Amino acid sequence: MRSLTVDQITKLYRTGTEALSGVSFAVEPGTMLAVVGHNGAGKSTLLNIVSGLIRPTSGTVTTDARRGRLMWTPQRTMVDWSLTVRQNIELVARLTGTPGSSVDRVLELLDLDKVQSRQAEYISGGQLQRVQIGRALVAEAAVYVLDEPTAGLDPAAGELVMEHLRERAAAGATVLVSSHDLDAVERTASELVLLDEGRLRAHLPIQEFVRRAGATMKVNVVFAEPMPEPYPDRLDTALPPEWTLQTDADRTGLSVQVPLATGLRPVLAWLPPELQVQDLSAEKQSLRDVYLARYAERTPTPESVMVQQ
Amino acid sequence: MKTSLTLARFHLLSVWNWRTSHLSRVIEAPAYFLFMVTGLNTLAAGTRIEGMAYDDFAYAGVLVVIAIRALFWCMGDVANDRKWGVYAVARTTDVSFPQYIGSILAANTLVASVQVAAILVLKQLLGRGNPVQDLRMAGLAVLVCLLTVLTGCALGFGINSYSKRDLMTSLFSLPLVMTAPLFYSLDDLPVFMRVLAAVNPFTYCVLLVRSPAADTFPTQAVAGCLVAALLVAGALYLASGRHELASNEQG
Repeated sequence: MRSLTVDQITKLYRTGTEALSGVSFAVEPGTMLAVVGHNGAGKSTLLNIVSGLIRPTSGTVTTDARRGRLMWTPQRTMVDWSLTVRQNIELVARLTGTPGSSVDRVLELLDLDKVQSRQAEYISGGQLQRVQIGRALVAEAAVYVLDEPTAGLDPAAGELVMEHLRERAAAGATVLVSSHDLDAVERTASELVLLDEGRLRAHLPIQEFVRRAGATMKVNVVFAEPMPEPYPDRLDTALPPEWTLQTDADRTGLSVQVPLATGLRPVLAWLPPELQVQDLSAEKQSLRDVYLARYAERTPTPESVMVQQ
Repeated sequence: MKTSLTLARFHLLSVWNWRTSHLSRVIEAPAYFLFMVTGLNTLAAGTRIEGMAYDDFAYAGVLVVIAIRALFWCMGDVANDRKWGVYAVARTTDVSFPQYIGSILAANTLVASVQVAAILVLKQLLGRGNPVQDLRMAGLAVLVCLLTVLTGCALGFGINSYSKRDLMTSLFSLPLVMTAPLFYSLDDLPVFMRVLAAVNPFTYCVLLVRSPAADTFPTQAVAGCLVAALLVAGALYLASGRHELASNEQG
């Protein structure tokens, strides 16, 4: 069952800019999908189209209306400056038939209860962002679309918001969220859509994306005693081709970099038993690492699209 | 209906929260009226204009000024709602286009009606009133306000930038006031002014508002207002399907 289907969305602005080109993907209920990509990749355009704020030039977005409504938060500040913090959130609650207790709960969750009587024009940028998020979260919805909700928030608030979104997804909602905080994305989201120059480059579960994007794991080994001859040269000869090895000058340790998919077990099996390991640690490349290594630059030529088979 | 009233309530809260910047709406019309009946009235020196006392003539003119102002306030309200996401929030929470228009209509017509009532009361307080005739004129003015509020709605959907909004207000509000026979008769004015008046919809609006003080049925005014109403309905119909939910205006 799909709660949201994006089918061949293209958006051509009047300026002639093609913001999106033939983007398609589908999301199941209970998914927290992160939309990532560089500035200008088309993330906001995509989310604005999914929210219904703007229309695609061609293509369709289908939401399962039987499951309920769609709530959204835009990237740019869009609050009613003439209303108070509470009134901004209460407006949505009233229109959706949500009880007033939800307004109180959201104000408290987002730490807005102390400024709830202030007009939007008199609060800080971070608080404005919280008001926007509060508007999206005050009512129960089947689909939440949030465009960079953590931008402008302090780290703790950003973490809180992402965690809350994860909880909504766990409760069965579909959450689409764009963010440049890839560490937070990796911690909270389950799937990822990568856009580049308005084109879909990947739609995969995050760990699958990290693996297929060529992430590596660095295993650091410290021996109880310096390696005797004929080590470390013998280690080199037995090294699988896709592994890279670095040994310490004093022969007391080594680092071996292997594809993430390899796992730790083959590395342990590769270590000669006569070398007594005192300490061993592994550093996996994160989503942020592989993104920076491979996708941070705009790709001049299209690559193949990575999707779940 | 309930949804429209809910939204209208928030529009009125908005007016109340920004009451200091809306003070001009309270002051302008009574100030115009006082200036006309206690100042310019002396120029008329007791002569009747288009068959009525200058107090009645200016009274209708001020009521139509309120309607013109309502048009631009309403245009700004809709433009703000699209800029601030209020319209998008409403539409994505299943508020229909007619329900939204209903909310704007309710809030802005209520504010305009209060302004009209203030002028009505002021005229009586100045001892220049004819209560029944003035009340009928005020009622017609509220009908004209309904029309101008709807026009403002239609225009608001075409506004995507502050500069466009500013241009519309500054370019059109004064000419609309000056080329309609709101405070002076067109009879002695140059031909080009009379031509401009003929294409100014507020010429017909003010004729309609003045009709209780005239002896004849205002055929021309009713026809003009009906044409204007049809044009507004057409503009709203076009607006209903051609706009994005949010404008790209920043801030």
